[in-house]
Amino acid sequence: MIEFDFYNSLNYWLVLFVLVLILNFFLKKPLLQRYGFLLANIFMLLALPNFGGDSLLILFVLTFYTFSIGWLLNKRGIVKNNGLRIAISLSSLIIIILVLACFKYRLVLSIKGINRFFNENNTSKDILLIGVSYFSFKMMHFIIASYKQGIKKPNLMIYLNYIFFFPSFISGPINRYNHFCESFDSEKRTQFSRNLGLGGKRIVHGLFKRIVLVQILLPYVLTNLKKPIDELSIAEIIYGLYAYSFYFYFDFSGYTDLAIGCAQLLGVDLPENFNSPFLKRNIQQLWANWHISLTSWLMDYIYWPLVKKMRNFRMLKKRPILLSNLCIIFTFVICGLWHGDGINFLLWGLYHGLGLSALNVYRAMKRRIDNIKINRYFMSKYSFAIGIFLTFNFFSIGLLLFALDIKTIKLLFNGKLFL
Amino acid sequence: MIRKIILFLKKNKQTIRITFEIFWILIFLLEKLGGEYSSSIPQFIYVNF
Repeated sequence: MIEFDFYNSLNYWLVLFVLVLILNFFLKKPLLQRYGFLLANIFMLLALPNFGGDSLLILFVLTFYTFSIGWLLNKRGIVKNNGLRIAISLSSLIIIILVLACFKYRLVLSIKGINRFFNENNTSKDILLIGVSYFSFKMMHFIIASYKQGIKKPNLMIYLNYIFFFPSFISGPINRYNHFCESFDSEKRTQFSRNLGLGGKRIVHGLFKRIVLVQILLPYVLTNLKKPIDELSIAEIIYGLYAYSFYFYFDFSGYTDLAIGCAQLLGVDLPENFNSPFLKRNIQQLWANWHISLTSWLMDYIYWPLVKKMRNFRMLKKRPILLSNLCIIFTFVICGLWHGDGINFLLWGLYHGLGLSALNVYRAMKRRIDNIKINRYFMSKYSFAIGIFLTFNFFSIGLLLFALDIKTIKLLFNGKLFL
Repeated sequence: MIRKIILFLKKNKQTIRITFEIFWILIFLLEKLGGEYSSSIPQFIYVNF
């Protein structure tokens, strides 16, 4: 079986070229297209290193399971009892979360070479589920949307293609079922020359970021500097962090461009994930424009439901800022844990949660200011520029927790700061 | 003259950007193929999340 990394190898591009030709010119009938798409998705996933038949089987079982539950919940008149509906949805969500926790952290551990937590005799320990963070969030979305009866056209073949869709399988964007369904059945999908133009441009943007910009930045990134980490000066740490921020942005947005471009070649629209996040004047705006599909998922399925529940407490209902801050901190701690299993990821989430809370408090204080001159300053270009600078620095400093573990951070600041 | 150049650049912004990007992609790929000291393209940071 042929094996390749997505977007990084020549084999990937050759296979994609053949698939685009077959799907656009040889499979014209809608039903044939759906089957053809699914076969193409399965073929591409099996070509991923560390994605074998076992992984595919688990993915199929999970997909069938979540579709059946979603279908039951979505169809009016089948499960009428609200308590039962909640129980079915919650138990399914718990199962998906367990799968995510089990496979994701095992994947992280195996990459780090720390398998001591797992029994040596356990025969299933080599099964890796690449992309589990992303497809589990898609499945949770499907279950919750079905519970609210918000799935417009539940269809098993489209759902299989939605979960298995290879351009966004390994790292998103986390698209929504209805959006995928509309795009999948849209007439635009068959307009090959339009899709080729749009997709081709996007792929060039992505390759430019990945091959040129990332390569230029790589030697200056904090984790790649030639000096031992404890010998770095504060200035070197700062420029290493700045370089890391841009490297991270170009790497991930480059990946997203490639994913969106490849999906476009196949006639499917994926949602945008970035919108100039480093040009935003506060951390809330930065997060609204950084990894947009994840942020909106977290807002829709963690933050807002939590706010609704917490409003029932009279003490919090009277204090909307405290309510919002508690919910945002919890949401970002989950966001941190989603990114990785180390304590540094939890602290990274907490750091951003606290930053957003501080912004909430600052905004409330700002609203109380009655001075025209000060208010005019807040509307000025200077205030905007200072906001961009401070936000970028806040984000870059936070990346320390993202890129390094706690021990290394202590080593990095050894004798330089209070640590 | 400068106004004409600016107008031309504005009108052909997309084409100029794509050409610029393709040019540098090719340069970096050729450098990667040719030089034994050249670095390989790093793995995506986000892939294993």
